Amino acid sequence: MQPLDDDMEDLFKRAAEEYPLDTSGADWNKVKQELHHEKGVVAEEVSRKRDYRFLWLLFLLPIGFICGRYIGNDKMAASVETNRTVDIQSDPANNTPSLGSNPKIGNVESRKKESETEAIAGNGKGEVTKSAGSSNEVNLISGSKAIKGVKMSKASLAGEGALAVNTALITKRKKLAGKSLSSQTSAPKSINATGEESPTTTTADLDKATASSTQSQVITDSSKKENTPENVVTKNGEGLSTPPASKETKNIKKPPFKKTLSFSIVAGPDVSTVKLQKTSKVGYSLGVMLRYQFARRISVEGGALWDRKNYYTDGKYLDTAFLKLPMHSEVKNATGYCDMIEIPINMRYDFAGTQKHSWFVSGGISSYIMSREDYNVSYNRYNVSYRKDYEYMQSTRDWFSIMNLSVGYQKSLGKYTNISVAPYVKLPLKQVGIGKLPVSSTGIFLSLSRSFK
Amino acid sequence: MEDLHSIMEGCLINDHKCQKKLYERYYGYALKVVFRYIYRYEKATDVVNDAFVKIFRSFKKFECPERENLEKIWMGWMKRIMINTAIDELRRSNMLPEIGGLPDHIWEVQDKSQAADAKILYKELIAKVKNLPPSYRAAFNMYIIDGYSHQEISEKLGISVGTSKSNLAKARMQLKNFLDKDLQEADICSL
Repeated sequence: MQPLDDDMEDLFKRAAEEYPLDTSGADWNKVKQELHHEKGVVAEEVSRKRDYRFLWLLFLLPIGFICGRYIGNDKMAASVETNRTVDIQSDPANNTPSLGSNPKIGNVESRKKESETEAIAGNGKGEVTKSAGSSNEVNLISGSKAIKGVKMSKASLAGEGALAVNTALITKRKKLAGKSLSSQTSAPKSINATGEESPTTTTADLDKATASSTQSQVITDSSKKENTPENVVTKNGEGLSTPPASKETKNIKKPPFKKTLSFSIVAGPDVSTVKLQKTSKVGYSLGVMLRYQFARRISVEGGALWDRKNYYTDGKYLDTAFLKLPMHSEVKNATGYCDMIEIPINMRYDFAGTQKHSWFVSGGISSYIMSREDYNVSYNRYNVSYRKDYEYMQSTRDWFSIMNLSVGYQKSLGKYTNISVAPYVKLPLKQVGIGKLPVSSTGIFLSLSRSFK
Repeated sequence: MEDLHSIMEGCLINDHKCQKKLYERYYGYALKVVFRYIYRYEKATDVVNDAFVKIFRSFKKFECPERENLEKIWMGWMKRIMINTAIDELRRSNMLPEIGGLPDHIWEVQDKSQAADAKILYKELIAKVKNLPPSYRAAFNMYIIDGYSHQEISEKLGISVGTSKSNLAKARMQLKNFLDKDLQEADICSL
């Protein structure tokens, strides 16, 4: 029986190879059409997904809007402040007594700011003079705008009899003026009532003057006015010129730029998705960054982050070659996480702000060095569902595979210390990991940095 | 004839000319494999085309460590894909037996060569195989002709190993009966 079976099997094997079937009906066009159709569908899906991918950027729009509003308000507030000062000084109506014997005491603060600013910015010589006469007038004669500012304020204060009340304020102002003067002149001097030169007027001198006089008065008569309009101080405030002061203020805000290296510790939550599918758990990023600011607004930064990313994907996005599943298995979905070292290289542009705070955008690319990948794969085989775990250590290195985009806000905590918060998106430039997944991530980086100048 | 290796290199970069050459060169072989599983000729040609689409899509997965055995390895890989695609088709139709005979036009035109008689015999034998119920036919083709084990058959068809063995035994029995009947008829004719 067995030999008969063997013969039969051999006969059928030979028949299977050599049976005369008409095989002339090859139709390449059908195959080609099918191949083209699938490519078209895939390309269409990819382009659609790419379109969706950029929708993430819409989340950044409100930040830019808020940022714009904030900066706009800041500038507007500064402008209003300047105008208010000018109005107060130039408006005769403000001289009308409104606070008892000190009608202008309410304006002291605004003038104080301006005078301080001008005093700091001043470059020329200046003298504080207690002029002769029974009236014990306090007069400021200066050869520069900076001291004129002090003169104006002091004159106003004296004119309103506020000098005694605001001794501390004057002292401060004197110090500021003194600093300015001492930096420029070898021995700032004041001329006392008898015409003798004496050291710079002190608070005590001013107090004496205040005590001995019932009313301090600014030189207001036209005969006592100096010819240059800048130096004119009147009770009415006529002839005050504020525009030069605002120019000086601007100069203060922009100190000379120094190249800066800063080191920061970065941490933040990370939400990862594959093709904008649902997310699983929230991951995290933790690491260190170095930033080199080589221009006033531009800097380059790099570092190393330890990331954990959790994600979920449908089976169609997962490369199943690594799974080694039995034939006719169809992967339904997979959840997983990966631990990795991320190496970002970014360019940062500070588009607004001051020394105290700034707004920035940054962009760049990241490389992922996978340390561990864990997949829990659910698959069907002949209508039976299975679930299996896969773990891979140090599986892949995906160089320059992710694009980083970020908008952030940085605030100074001291001269060298800053904190910043920066929402980010990370978009895949290519598929990463052993499962070749296009992983997108979003989150917020919180960082504490220390500068070295 | 163009070197198979260069054709395959072209297929790796989705060169349609190379794909066409490969398809046309191995279409006959593929159809002969599939037609043993799929009863209808037209459906068999569709299955072959589908299988070639799969092949071209996943061509990068084809690996050949030995260049001198490239064709053998390639044909083995292609055959497995053809069989898998054919079985998928059978499973999709729930292994339902099909009715109706096989038309004459699907067979090659007979020549006058010495091998003509043998070809007629082979044609008859394959026709007998095709007349088996689909589950028996699949088990017979896979085990006897294509060299699968019962374990593999059970996995691919989603049946137990015992069922696979049983199907094969029944297929053998039926074919043996066909052959015995033919022999008896031949004996009667010779009397």
